[in-house]
Amino acid sequence: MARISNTRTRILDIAQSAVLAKGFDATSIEEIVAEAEISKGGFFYHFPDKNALAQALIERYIDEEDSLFDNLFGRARELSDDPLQVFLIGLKLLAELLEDIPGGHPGCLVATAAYQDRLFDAGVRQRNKDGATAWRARFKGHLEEIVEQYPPRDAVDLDDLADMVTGVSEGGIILNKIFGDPTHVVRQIMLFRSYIKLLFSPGAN
Amino acid sequence: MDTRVEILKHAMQMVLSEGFDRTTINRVAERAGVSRSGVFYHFADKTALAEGLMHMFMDENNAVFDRIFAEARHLSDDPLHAFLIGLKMLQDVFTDLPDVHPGCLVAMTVYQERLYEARVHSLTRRSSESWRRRFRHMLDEIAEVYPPNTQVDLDDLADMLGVCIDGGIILSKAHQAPELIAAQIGMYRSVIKLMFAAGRG
Repeated sequence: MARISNTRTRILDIAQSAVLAKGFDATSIEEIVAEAEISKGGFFYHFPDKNALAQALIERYIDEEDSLFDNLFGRARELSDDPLQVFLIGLKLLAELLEDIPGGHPGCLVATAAYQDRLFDAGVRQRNKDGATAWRARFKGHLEEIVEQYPPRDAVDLDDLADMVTGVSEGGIILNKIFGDPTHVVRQIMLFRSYIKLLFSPGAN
Repeated sequence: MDTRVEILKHAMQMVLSEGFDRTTINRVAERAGVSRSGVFYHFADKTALAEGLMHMFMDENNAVFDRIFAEARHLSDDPLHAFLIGLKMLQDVFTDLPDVHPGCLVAMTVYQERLYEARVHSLTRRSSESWRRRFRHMLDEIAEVYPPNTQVDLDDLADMLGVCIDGGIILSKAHQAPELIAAQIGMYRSVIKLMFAAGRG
């Protein structure tokens, strides 16, 4: 059993790095099989086709991000009772985590799937949408607690503000890749954090 | 009709919807209604085609930015107000799109990094550097009149507009909701307001 799940994980790891470097379409089952040193039959035992592989990749990626956010913002909750401070600490922890990844964040699978969505079946598209919707709900939950205590200093839609966590991360990762500089996404998240402070802190300066 | 432009238009559509690897010279030729040699007359190889696309992308963006921010500057002498007006106009440009945004060529290129030659990547960098210079210049003018309300690196703040647009495009694609790009530009507008507007609260 352990060997089977190891093979599955290995296939997913190999596919993920290939997909992030050149896209889903240019990633062939043949090259994954060769790199994993398994037979084609071995591949198809785990994934009946490329869509099944794509769906598994997206699911794993979103699960990993979810547990990462659970950890960071859970830890932030342990450190403070104040919802604004919790959110600010969580963002700081996120920035630190991104800073510590050797070579920088490898890229976001949700972005690649969004860009290549015509290649995928409805199941993959739906999973991608569900993932983005869950991130929105997660951060909106924090923001709703914040606005109860700290009225915002500008009229903002909390859905859009919650989306901004994802947006700034995605845009920041793209900037990393453009300039070959992994610090961009870190700095963009810290900039977003400064904005949150200005938006909610009474008499901030 | 300009054959070169026609080829680029079809190639752009194909790259953004299907990726660079599926964008073969054969398929581009067929779509554009020209022969293979017709394509090769204008573009020596696929890398030349990719460079042509990046140049077209940069020219189109520059034209939109030039028009919008000149008009905004015309409407207000105040650099902060002019920038905020320009951003509002930029929101309108994205709101008026008929469908989900086809995507950002730069984002597509970096996510298919391994398929492109170094020449193309240096062009994507140039494109982003020109955005940074353009908006940094506007932010410098603003900061002279309105000292920022918090410590902020103006290069990062200049980059943040492109970040919000790219992030907005990905959000709009993931949610199949075209309005999310304008929404994220609106958020950037709010960032600028709070960073610089004096006498808050």
